[in-house]
Amino acid sequence: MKRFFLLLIVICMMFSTGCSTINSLSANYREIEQLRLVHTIGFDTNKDGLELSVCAGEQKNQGLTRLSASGLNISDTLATLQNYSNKEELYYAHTRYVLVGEEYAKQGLEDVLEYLESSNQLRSDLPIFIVRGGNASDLVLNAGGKEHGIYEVLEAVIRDCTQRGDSYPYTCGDIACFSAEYGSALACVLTTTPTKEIDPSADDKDLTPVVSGYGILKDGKLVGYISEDSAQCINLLLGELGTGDVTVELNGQPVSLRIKKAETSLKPSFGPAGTMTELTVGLTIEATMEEAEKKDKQDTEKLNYYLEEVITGWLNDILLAMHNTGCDFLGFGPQIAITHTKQWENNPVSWESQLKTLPMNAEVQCKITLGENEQRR
Amino acid sequence: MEKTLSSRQLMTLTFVSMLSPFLRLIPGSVTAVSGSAAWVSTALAIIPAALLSAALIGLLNRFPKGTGLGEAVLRSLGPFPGALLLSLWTLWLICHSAFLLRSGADRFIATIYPDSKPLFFILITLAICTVAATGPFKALARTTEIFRPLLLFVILLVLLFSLGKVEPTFLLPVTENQSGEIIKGIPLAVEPVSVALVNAAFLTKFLRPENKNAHHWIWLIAVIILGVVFCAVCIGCLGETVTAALAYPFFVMARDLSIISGVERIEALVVGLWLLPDFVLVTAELMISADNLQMITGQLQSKQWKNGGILAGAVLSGVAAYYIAPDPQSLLQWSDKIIPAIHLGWAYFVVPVVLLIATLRRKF
Repeated sequence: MKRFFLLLIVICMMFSTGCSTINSLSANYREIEQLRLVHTIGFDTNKDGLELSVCAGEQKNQGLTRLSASGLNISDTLATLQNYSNKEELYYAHTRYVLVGEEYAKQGLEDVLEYLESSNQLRSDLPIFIVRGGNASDLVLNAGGKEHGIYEVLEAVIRDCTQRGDSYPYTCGDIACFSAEYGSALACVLTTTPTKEIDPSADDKDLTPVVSGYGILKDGKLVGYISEDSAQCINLLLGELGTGDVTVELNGQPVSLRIKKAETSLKPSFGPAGTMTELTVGLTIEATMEEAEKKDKQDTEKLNYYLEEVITGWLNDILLAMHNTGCDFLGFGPQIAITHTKQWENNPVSWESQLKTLPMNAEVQCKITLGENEQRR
Repeated sequence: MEKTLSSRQLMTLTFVSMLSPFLRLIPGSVTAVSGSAAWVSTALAIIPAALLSAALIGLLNRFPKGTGLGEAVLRSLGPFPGALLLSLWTLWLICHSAFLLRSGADRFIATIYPDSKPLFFILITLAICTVAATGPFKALARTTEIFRPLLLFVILLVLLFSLGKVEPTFLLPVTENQSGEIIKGIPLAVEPVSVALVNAAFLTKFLRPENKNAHHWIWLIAVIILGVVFCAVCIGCLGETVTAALAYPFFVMARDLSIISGVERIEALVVGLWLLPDFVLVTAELMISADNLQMITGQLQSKQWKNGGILAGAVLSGVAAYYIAPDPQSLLQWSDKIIPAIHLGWAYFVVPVVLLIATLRRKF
């Protein structure tokens, strides 16, 4: 009896694996050839409400599918897209990138973030990009030409900018978490450039994405931008160093410097009433000379001064953006709360309301040395 | 009566069975109450857990070695009140196993099979548990010895690869102002451990007589440390708001896990593995229920009574699982309020009262 019961269970379980081709209770088995693997989704607004564009497939195996459709909300538009692609099933579990048009980002990313968080198919650690001054569909439908999808182009772009250290592809999960905890977040920004400008053999329609700093999101809505140069400073503040060089001019000659170490310090001052009266953001940098004529004869003191001037300019831009938008996108407040817990608790004014008026100073100290190879000589 | 269990096996079984309520409440539900300081609530849960442990050990030590909680209740309160209390307790265990079946089904629906109906998952889990419950207890204990490294490996793997994403500002500072929230979170944090400890006390009757309680305290400390690390990593990665909002934060972390850009989308495997703690806990509770029934009716040696009790428990459990919490909102209510409240009532009110009565009866 027991063996019969066990056999019955095993047979029942065979129908419940989800891989059964017969009509099992949870059958979701499909041949891989039947699936169109979507790798990039673009979100835009249009007169109908939402415009979704997708780029699916890989050239090697299936060829590319680029689709775009309008609808009232995400589910509705995805269903429309599926109708367009009636030969194959659009499969979103392997989506790699999410692009958002500027107008859509200004209206808020809550819908996208909520959809991704609650979706069983999509991961929440998908990098999200804001397309500055354009639509996501421009890039999703036109980047990469006939042979490559935007996925391949973005792979290369992200690898380069991460290596250089001038940007970081924040994910949907990062944005959701930072928005919830800090009230604001950063998202990587792309601009579109006609491919023909750099490759004369390219089609007129072909577009290439170029990383152009960060977008500032307040409560999920795009409220401002940070330039590409200042974006590099953000990475320095976060201790995310890349191999990108900073070039300064000394006596009319360019000198390339590579930042090897960056340390951030926050020095708040509190008044007698317990209110924060000033915040000094310090950045201590160690850099080496990478490209310069007669490295050992360069005036390092002057170079220090010029590098400090450049980085102070970037840092001031960031602090100004914090002032103008009222966004603490780097989480300075929570960091001060850890290091100055008592004063932070006794501060009668909330950090959010203080951000727009609090005087913030940039204090940059640089130390330049010869490159390692140079020292060995 | 088979007395074939070592204390190490009992603790292993208790650990594996605890993982089911553990992942349901820690860190999501605790964070919803305690905020970013949920990890402190989990650390402080060691105090009530240790007190419950001491109470259970104190109660069982009043009786000859190898006495389980069920027998201790009967002998402390006398035949009629003892049988009444044990019957209620048994009904509660069946109700709890019904809830476990329903919440296990919900985990599958929420993480892998959207829009599915829970009945299918309930029936399959219940069928497996019923077959296992009719077998020897030793087999279940040995199964957990195989499950434990597998489950620990998965937990540690997810935690290890998520460690780099931890933001200290999501976890600190913890201030005096949060003490109220921290205290409010302790009952939820201690519930999984309490379930495990009370079940372990029932199962003590299967222990070999030569076993001691030495593993007990090490187990408790290890479990609390795991809870604290687990809580801290989840909140440190997702922040308190997202952690509290998600039904299963750990599985979201597993979904986003990418191991050296080579292995990803392992969440189905991870969720699937969580059938094992459900299986162990439901099976153990069905076995305890049947054993209690045998004790109440005095049919301790009857195999028919044992199997009949298991089948009756399974049927009741399956029916209750189908009707309990018809939608996710009511399931959350059951998970965060009703189940912990009743469980803590049994652990922190009934157990001390039984201990007190047992002490007084011995004195006078």
